[in-house]
Amino acid sequence: MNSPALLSSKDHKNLRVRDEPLGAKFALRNSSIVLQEFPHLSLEYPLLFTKSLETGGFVCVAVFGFDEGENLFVENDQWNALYIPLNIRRQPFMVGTQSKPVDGDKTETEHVVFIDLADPRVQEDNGEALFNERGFPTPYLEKMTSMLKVLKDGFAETQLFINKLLELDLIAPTTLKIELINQEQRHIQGFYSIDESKLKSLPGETIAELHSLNYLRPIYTMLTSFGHIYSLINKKNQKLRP
Amino acid sequence: MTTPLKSVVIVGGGTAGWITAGTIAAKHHAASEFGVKVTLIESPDIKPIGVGEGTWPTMRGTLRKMGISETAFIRECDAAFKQGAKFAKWVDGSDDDFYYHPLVLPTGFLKGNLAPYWQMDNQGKSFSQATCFQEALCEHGLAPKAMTTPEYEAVANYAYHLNSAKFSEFLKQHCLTQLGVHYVCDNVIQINSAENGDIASVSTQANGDIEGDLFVDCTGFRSLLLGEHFKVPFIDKSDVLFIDSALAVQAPYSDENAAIATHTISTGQEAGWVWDIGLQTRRGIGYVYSSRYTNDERAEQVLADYLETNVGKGAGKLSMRKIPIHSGHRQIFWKNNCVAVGLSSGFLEPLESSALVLVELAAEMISDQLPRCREVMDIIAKRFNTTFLYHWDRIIDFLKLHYILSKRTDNKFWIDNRDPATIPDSLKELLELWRYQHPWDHDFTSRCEVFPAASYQYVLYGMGFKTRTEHITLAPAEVEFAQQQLRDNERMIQKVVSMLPRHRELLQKVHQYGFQKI
Repeated sequence: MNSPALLSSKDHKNLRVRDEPLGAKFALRNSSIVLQEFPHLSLEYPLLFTKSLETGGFVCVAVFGFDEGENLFVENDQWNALYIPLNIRRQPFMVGTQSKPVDGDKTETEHVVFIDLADPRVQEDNGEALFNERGFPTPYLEKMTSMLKVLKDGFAETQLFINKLLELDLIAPTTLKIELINQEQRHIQGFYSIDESKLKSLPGETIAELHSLNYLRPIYTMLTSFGHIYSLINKKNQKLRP
Repeated sequence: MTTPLKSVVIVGGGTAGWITAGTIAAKHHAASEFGVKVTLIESPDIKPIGVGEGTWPTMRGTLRKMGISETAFIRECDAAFKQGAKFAKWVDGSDDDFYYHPLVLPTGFLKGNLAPYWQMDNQGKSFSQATCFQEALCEHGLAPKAMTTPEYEAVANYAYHLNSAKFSEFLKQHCLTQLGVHYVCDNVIQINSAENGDIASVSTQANGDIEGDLFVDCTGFRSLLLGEHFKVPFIDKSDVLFIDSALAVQAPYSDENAAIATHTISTGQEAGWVWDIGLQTRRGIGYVYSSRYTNDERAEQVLADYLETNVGKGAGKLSMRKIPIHSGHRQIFWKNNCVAVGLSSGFLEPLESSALVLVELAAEMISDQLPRCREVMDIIAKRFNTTFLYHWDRIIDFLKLHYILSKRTDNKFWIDNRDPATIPDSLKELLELWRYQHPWDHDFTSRCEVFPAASYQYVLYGMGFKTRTEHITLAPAEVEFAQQQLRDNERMIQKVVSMLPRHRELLQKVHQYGFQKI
């Protein structure tokens, strides 16, 4: 069986998703986020940019740790935060594309829902059902599907935001040197942030344009959220304490 | 009263012409009204010779200074990444005879010389294996960077292999649309002198006389301005470098996903060597040889054999193009208000891809030192001539080094190459020095050496040269430094091999996504 697989009421009629703490599965340093979630995320996470390993393109991320696979928000499988990014909560579902034929030789790409069958929460014994007796989606699946839709549209919108920042030369590598309580000095690489001095030197009409695009608020949200790096360092230090 | 320099006229297109035009135009704001006017005259009848498909890492800086996007360059010039050269069958001609000249410096090179320690305790590793992580990348067919690496930046230092006809056209479009270079498509039919012997103007068939303050001769082997007009003599170097002919083919890949070599492969043959470079869509392969030691028919057979073995059955029938090679250079390169760049200044066999790097160095020096007025031009010309004579001599020494360290005896070509009468005194002196001390920076005197001491180390020790060590005692700190560096290199190999993508895969992604600028 393929994993992920295109979700169908025929093949996956009896599947259920077990309700487990999210922390167990997400040993991640960061995860992609969308503009709509910035206000919630900025209460706890540093919001930065990183590059996709696959495409080299920039993505907005919430940062959870400093090392590969380090999620400092997770303790005893519990994700201790007020808000968990949509891109985490949408799992084990994901959006994919497939081309469908329309009149004759032409095809068009449509978005479809995939399910990650390798996710241990996906099984047939207990948890939330995906389809009811008659093969229609359950309210649970409806909720997850609409979350996927928000994410899909959100990623497209966030990409436009990133493109605008790149066009204005506003993204710069983040110099992140941290010192831990064991005196270890760490140089954290791979994160990018908004160049505040360049932002300040933008001409009035460009600022007005950013304002009209509703980009000023996420820009400042990202800048302010940087302070959460210190609470992350704090979390890391607490783990280092004997 | 002084005569300010306001206008540069470049005669001849091709890579030399367009690199020079682009470099000067970008630095001297040719597109603006206060800038220097740059005009390029290109003959509609002369096709560029199309040599020089390999570059040096300097090309990254050259392109960046012209304001070119690396993504656009790679997409449009069929370009691939080059991480050095692999020399096969140069030492004794056996099947396992090879060594690398990578582009990454030996580990810790800026802090200390590892060659003495390596020679005393190499644990069976070749110099390039022990001191440089790049050979592993080449052997695994891995790219020198990842998609997350910004444009022009590297994980492992790199240059390019490129399609020179496409490159020329790409530069031309950039020069005309972005840099404000004036373009005249016409034949130059006459050169008109001023009273002081300078070139006052060149006459064209359809566009009249074109005046200029500085003329750049990019007319290729013909050397129309420097050679024909100023009669600057050609210094023949065929007594040192015997290669005088090339046979070139364009070979297809077995399929569209075949691995692309990320280094130039140079394989020694009976009377010369075969180059093999990988572009995105094809390989460029050719045999350069000395007609004094073989004949054209035999050379075609040697190349056909290489193609049958290394490209595939039937590849020996690919059509071959013959190109003559006259090794040597002009006595001087800048005379009066005329400077030659590219083939018009000289040519050498493409053993270490020196053709394009010389174009870049010349374009850069002309652009950096561009005389503000005629009154200072002779001083700059003199310096330019000294600098470039030095470059040519060092390149000739370096190329000759590859031949004299060979132990091949299968053809008089190799034996005669080791005849002391054919070795320049400057090279003899260096070799004598290196019998007792390992090459290091002070052996060379120029600010921008084409081949640094590291290159000499790679070739010398790659070819089995032995520096005598009985007079050398390493201090404990030096031993510790060397051991640490060699361990670091081991770790670096593990790291880059697990992290970097396959060469073709990265090129495909450059087409799909492009590199970020930061």
